[in-house]
Amino acid sequence: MSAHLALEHLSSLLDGELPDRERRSARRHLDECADCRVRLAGLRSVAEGLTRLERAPAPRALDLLITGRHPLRASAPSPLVARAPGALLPLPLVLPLTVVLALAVLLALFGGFEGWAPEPAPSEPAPRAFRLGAAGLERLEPAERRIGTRRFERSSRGWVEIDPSILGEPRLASEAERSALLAEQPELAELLAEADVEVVAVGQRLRLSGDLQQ
Amino acid sequence: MSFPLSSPLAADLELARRHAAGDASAFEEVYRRHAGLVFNLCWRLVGEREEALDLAQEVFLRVHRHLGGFGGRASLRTWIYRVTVNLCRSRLSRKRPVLRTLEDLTAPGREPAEPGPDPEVRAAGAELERHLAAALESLPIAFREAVVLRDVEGLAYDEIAEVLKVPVGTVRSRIARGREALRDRLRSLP
Repeated sequence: MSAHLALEHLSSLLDGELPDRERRSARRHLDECADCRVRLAGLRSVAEGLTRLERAPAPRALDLLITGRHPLRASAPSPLVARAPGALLPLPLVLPLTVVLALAVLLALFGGFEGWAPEPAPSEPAPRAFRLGAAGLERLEPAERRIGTRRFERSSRGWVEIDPSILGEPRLASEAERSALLAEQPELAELLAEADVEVVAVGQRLRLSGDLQQ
Repeated sequence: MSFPLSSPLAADLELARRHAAGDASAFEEVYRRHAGLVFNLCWRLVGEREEALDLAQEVFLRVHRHLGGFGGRASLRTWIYRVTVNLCRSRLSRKRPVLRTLEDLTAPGREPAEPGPDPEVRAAGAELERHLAAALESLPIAFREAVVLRDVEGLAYDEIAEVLKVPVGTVRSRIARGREALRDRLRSLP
């Protein structure tokens, strides 16, 4: 029996991407070689599993942002797309946006951020702010606010406080922390010595940082 | 260059021409045709629905800006796939280095355990999908792009080569190695 089929041949066979002659040759080999049949079956199960992965329709938030229409009310006027590039933001969108921005400013001025944490939509994130500028549709950049020493970031869930005592920026772990980690998990020593990986501390937790895929 | 009016490429070029001429319904048609495709591709490449929504917006902003200059060297679908892949790649490259918890690192999937049976006899349905989706996220991006375009989006090798701007032989190799890596990861599940 000839040598085993190359991985690329097996995978291409699965996709019908082998030339006729090579396909016939591969089929003959597979009739005789159980190892290659097993390898092919494994590749097939992965490929078939991937084709069955859930596919979601485009979220309504995206429809609203890009077309200005709710998909279930497609006959409604389209405030964004039905305008040439460079057109002004349509009035029906200006008013709600103005109200939202005014509320955000008032809350920022009077310390209202502390209590303002709207519940996230369970299945779909809220749309972000946008405008129709001279260059076409433009998304407004996410905002960050600081009130005293406290930092807030705007996310799809509203303003979220970034607590450095919980999250914080990763810092390189101290020698003592590193030693304690290796005493607890000596199997990590080889990885730390050979890979481009460092022990970092994020808040109270020790983590490995670097390309762990290599 | 001229194309029969009924050809897909002629239809794509007509959409681009209408957009350039200020016919806003042309962009809406492009969006309707490709919204699901773009969102799902972003989702599978970056792994998170919220980030996929954000990226899908970026894709259509870019399409809106450049549709008028679409020249028809590839189909509109291929062009939009390419914009999407490039934006996802750019977003992933700007992320911080991989931060994994020690629990992740020492999870059973990373131990050199005896390989179990092949995935087809291990799990079925939703369980396999969950594991596959997680394993997909852990693939190097070059393999992930190729595997997703082939197995999730169903593109032929030559179209994937056009989207990724690499030779067909590279596509063949990336798909094969990506699938093999996924198979290995599923086999090492407890």
